[in-house]
Amino acid sequence: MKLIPRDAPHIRHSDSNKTMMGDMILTLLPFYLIGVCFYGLRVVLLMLLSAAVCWLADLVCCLVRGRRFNVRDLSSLVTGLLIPLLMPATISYGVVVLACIFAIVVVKHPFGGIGENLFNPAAGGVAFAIACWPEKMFAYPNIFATIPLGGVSGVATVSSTAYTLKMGGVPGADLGDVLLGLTPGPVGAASILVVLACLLYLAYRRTVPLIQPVCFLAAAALMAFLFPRADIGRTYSVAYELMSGSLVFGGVFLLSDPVTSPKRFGARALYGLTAGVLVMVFRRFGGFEQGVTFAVLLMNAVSEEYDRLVQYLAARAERERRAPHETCEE
Amino acid sequence: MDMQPQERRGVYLQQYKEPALSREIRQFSNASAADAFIDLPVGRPLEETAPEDIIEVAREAKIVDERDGRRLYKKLLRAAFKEIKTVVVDALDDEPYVSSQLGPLLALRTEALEGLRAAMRATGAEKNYIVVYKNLSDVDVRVPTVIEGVPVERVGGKYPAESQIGRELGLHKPYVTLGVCSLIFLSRALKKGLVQQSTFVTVAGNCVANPTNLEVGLGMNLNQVLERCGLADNPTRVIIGGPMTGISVIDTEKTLISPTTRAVLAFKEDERDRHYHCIGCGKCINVCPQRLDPMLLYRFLSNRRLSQLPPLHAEKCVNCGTCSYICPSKLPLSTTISRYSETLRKEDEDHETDPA
Amino acid sequence: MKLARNRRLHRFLGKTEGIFGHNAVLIGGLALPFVIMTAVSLKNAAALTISMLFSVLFGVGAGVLTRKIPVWLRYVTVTVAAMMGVTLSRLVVQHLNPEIFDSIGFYLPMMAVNSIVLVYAVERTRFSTPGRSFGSALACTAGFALTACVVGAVRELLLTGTLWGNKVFNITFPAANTVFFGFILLGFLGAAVQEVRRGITLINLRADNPTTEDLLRQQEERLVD
Repeated sequence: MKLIPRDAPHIRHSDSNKTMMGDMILTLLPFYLIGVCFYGLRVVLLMLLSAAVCWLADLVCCLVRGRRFNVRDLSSLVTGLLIPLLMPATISYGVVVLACIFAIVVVKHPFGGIGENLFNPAAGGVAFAIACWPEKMFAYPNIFATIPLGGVSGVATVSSTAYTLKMGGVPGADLGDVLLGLTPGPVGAASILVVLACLLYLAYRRTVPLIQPVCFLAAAALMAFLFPRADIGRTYSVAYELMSGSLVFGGVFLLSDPVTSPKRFGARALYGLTAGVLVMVFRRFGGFEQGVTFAVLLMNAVSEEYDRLVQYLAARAERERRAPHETCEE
Repeated sequence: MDMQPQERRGVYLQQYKEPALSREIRQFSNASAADAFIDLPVGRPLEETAPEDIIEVAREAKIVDERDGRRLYKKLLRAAFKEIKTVVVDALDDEPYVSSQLGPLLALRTEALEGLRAAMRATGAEKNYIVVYKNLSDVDVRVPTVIEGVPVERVGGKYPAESQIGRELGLHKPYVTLGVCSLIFLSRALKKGLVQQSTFVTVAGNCVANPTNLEVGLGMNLNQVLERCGLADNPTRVIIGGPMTGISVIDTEKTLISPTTRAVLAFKEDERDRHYHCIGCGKCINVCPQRLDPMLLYRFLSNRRLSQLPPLHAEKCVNCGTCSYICPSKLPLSTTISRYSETLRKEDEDHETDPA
Repeated sequence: MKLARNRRLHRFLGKTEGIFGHNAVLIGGLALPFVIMTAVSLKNAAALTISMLFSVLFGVGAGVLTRKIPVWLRYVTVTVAAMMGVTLSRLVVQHLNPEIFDSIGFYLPMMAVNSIVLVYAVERTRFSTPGRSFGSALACTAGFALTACVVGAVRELLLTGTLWGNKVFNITFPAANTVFFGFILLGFLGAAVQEVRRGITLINLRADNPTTEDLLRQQEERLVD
């Protein structure tokens, strides 16, 4: 018999990188389905283009760096699928391509590539797109409007509820409509119920720790409760703030990237809370109506510090808790 | 002294202990092997045997504790010297497939209990426990709560449980842990004067046709053991020990059974090296029973940043393999860290003065 | 590896210290804000270079002349001299483009206290001859000029599609005059410069030490012939 020598342990958990990334991709596909229902097939073209560009950019960067390219590594596909979901359906293909290239070539690989990147590549790519083409990124088409597959200059665009809130006005959309995603907004970020369902699925599969998005949403809700932007009463303010724009979507998919978020339970809770506060600050005082990508990037920069803080506190508690005499074992 | 309960860490593993556990334990040794005897007076009742004689018998019978490979007489001597008051019998078997302590405990209870009483007398201890793994959901036999007056405590639930014994039982005073098979051999040595020439081994795995517990003669090679149980398929991996901490064998003809070979497992699976990179999911940190940080340790060790390692306390690693088990990138976390902690321990031993 | 070729490369890099050797801006990290914030067009870059040249000449001149006085006083004299240089340069710069002072803003007067002047005029003049001081400071200025012009040209092309005011093509990328774009561009340029140097060394190496694949290929070719 031909025996293969291997290191212990000889049994492994069934989860692997492929299943985790596969889960993320699986949960992103429903948004594209809804996008097709609302906006037509252009959304699918955006998805395919962005996924292909991300994958190719990843391949080229790996070759330039002299690294071995792992075909089973689906992380660039996750980035590719996330980017169009934060953009309007009428975004031009050039913007998507440049955002993907920026995400992979500038945000991911110079900092170390897969597993070592400091910032979330999807958040970086979308932030780059917002900074470069702000008018294009926040001009959303109406739901069920026919959008041609090619040039989209003829499609009428409106602003979203997030823009209305930023201007200090009262959003005119019905709350039920906003919940179900029937108001103009980014392709993926519209349907809040689907986002929450995906979050529960990911938490069940242990791909995403539940504490982080929950703390994030709680902190954002608290900030919206305490400091309502429009004159609509506190509870309505919470509802509108949470359901407009990509706040929930960003909190679930962008913030929970395993590479850039802290690893310990207490650190994750704190991270979610501060991220929620920061998002509301960006929404109120920032230059754009969408604050979640910038907040995510800023939090990514300091995520390691949360781990260190919690580790330091745990080590101190352990030292105080340790018994003066230890049971000795033979 | 009130110890605050800490959250138990580890993983729940599927225990495939059946059908090996329910089967009868057979003997398997070389036909030409004869029993060896010690030439000390044996066969006397326990009350008439002095503690030193018990320890002498253990020494002559060359009994080895299957938990850690140390001689039983040394452990008893040290326990007696330190005036240890509690003896814990280890029938834990917290790794999947392995039941080479639980099986003999249930099948040869009287011998085990006699050995326990002898050990109590030898060390002068007053309390005793038998520890058994709690996570035995798929086991067909019933594990009693008391065996001949000795309480059977259920420990653990999550793997690893070996290091949790003291904490779970709430033992404050020092205790000694003895493997149940060594106690069985001790009772045989005291009764009939037999030298330990066999050991209890579980033969299991998806390539083995009849998984069972065997009492195998020491020095038999793995080929014989596997043929005895029948190979249904050609295995790609043969392991001695448990699947979490066992060593993978290359040549089954030259690998021999020793007293610490708790199990022989033969698996057939096709696992290819995927070369994934660490994605920083942090599952290893949440699962380490010693509360270490395997992610940072592995990163620093891989990048040879040895100066950043001391605050991470790598010497606390018990080599349980849980971090490698849970890692979705299938990284060799446990091997890298435990290899480093072994070098640390060797350095400590070199620097320590020998207390003799 | 034949060291002669490598020695030639290193001699070249040593002679062009500040320009190609250790580029003052990309590798040395001196005078970064001017390149990142204001070098958004080629004319701006030219204006910056001219005022940098004047301030460096005046500053290093003052540094050479005042070698004997205490250091803290030297900082003052060098800065005053550099300010005179910057004021003189304004006369030259205004011929480039009348609106240039609006776009560069206060970075022009800030040239008087830029890091190249302060480092080379105050520190380096203490232990080297006047000729060497001037030489190294001018080399730094040349390095700054090169970087600023490249960055300015790229950003101008991306921003408005023009080069020195003449239209080249029609594509516009309005984000090119943001600060973060400047940072990223500078970062990639620095990396490219390092890669070029590594690439030259690697080519030198491979020319004399073929890899196993190269040898096998050569063997196959010889068999074919």
